[in-house]
Amino acid sequence: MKKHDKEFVYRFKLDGKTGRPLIDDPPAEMVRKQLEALLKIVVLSEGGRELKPDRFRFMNNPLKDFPIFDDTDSDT
Amino acid sequence: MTDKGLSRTAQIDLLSRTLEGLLNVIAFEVKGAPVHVDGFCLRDGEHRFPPLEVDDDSPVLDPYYPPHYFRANEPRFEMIRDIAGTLLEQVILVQGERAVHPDGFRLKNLSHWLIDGEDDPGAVLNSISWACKVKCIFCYERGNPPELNFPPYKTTLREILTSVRYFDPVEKKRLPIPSRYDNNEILTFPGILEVIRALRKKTDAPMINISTSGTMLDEPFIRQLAENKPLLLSISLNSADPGVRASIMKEKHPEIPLRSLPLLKQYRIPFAASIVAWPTIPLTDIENTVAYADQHDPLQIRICLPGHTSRFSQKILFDLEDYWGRLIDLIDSIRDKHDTPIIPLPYTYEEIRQGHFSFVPGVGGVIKNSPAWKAGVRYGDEILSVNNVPIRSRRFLQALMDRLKKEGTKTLWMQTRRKGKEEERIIRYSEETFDHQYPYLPETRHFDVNYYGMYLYDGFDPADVIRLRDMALARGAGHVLVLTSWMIKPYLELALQHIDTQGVRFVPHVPENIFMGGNIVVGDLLTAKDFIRAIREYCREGEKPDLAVAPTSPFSSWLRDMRNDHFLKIERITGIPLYFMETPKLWS
Repeated sequence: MKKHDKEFVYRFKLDGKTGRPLIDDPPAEMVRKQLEALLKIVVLSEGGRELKPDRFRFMNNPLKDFPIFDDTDSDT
Repeated sequence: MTDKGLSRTAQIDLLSRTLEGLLNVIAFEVKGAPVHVDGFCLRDGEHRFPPLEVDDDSPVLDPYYPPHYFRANEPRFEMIRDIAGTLLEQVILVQGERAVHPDGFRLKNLSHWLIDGEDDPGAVLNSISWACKVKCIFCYERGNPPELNFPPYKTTLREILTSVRYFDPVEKKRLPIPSRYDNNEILTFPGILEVIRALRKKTDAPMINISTSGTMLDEPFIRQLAENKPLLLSISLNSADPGVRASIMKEKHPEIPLRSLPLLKQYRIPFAASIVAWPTIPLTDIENTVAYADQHDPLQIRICLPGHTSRFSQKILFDLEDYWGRLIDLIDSIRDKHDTPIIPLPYTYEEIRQGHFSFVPGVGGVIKNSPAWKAGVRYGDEILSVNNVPIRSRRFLQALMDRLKKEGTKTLWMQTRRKGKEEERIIRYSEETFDHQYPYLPETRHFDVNYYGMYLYDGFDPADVIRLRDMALARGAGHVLVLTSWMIKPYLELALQHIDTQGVRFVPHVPENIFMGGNIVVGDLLTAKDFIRAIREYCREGEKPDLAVAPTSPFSSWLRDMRNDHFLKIERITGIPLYFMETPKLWS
């Protein structure tokens, strides 16, 4: 087998940088970051209507919600 | 456990599902070696697993891809990295009885990640990133904003041969390409001929739009390229004067690319020539370069109207409108002397300069010896009907031509108008090789957007405004802010004069390009942040619109701009509902 016959491996570095936390509650912050990552590439919909969520809450606490996006760099 | 929030059980369940999802598509790596994670424990709990030792003598590995290289066409790699990162903040992965501290990950199965593309093998070649041998004084790389200054990346032969292996011209699938914003010079890649041969074994389809500065195009190289025809090149000519070319491109041997034009014709490889009309190059030199290129029958001569960012020069180096105007006047004055189509880019400006911008479907150029050329169609002809179908607009003509081209229609009866005189033109397309004369060879049909050899004017379509009006009425929006570009605004205003807006107030507005700065005016280079700023300023100065409209052209198919901001951010930040209007890129 020639050197170049072996398949190239698509590799990515994990550098431990996950951005600054927006929520001072690590489990909630983890959920926020996952939602943020997902909502950058998927559009949620309901009955065919596109949704544009920007906050979330845990089902056991209807009184407290959290932002999903860090939009602080968008000032003019 | 938190009383109101994510419970421990729910947290573990979420982590477990996340990890399971990730492990379906990736393998974590420690020091470059793949590891087989079979569990995890929470970081905030107690654990006593010693770290997993990996063999430091692992074989040499392929380099890491920075995931942001794939933002434009496969942002899910970046999403995987982000989700894996959040997971690792919460857990320690475990393999057997050992703690795993991964420093990277690899995709498990590349066939899961094939994306839809074209059957053009040239698209695979475009994933090659290799250093350019010239250093043009106007190179846009010198003026990129920091967000676009990616570290240099050099493709490996194994990497590109893997892309060739996964390229499926029948299903039109290929691996995602690590796209970046610095320049790729494909032909200087050391294994380029091996790659081209491998692609040629896979498909007979033409390799289109291979862009090059021409430094490699000596006769032995062209001969080897010719063995792998059909292919089409796009050469940065810039100047036909060796001294001028050497000085503006910092090139040691300008004679090689200059001699390549007759050689390409000799070896029957069609090509396009491009000239960046930088203001320090005398207009007479541009005129001479066009004449030189025309002698060797390129498919087209592109004259790129220049601009620069604020990073390139804080001081505005030239009055863009004045200089572009002089270039258009030059093109107008020399077009009749040459057979080759001379296309200014962005071409929309030509109509603005001439002051008779309209929606009439017209011909922007005709490739020499093409079916349209042989039928007598020329630059400036207006197309009134095709195969007895009256042409209502430019977009309508393009859609009709797309369909006829796809269906393989061989004969077109066209009613045209030139200087007020109507004529019938019969365009006959033959697939017989002997009917083709250079530069219009069978493969030329696939080059760029040409229809039977004709380049058609694109641009704004009045039907778009009617669609906008109907959309605004359906949403109950009486005041619509239409964010557009300096070059499209006159078309939009003209269209608004000619349609019944049914009471909807449309306000065209051109956002300033702060991201690029300088004298950049092309709307395709705006960012979400530029749009946000423009909407906010508009709201500050007056009444809030009910709706804002932004073009799709500055955004990728994943709806991200060059800074990786999603278009939804505009609506989220400004609070003004946004409608995203489908618009072609001006440079296409």
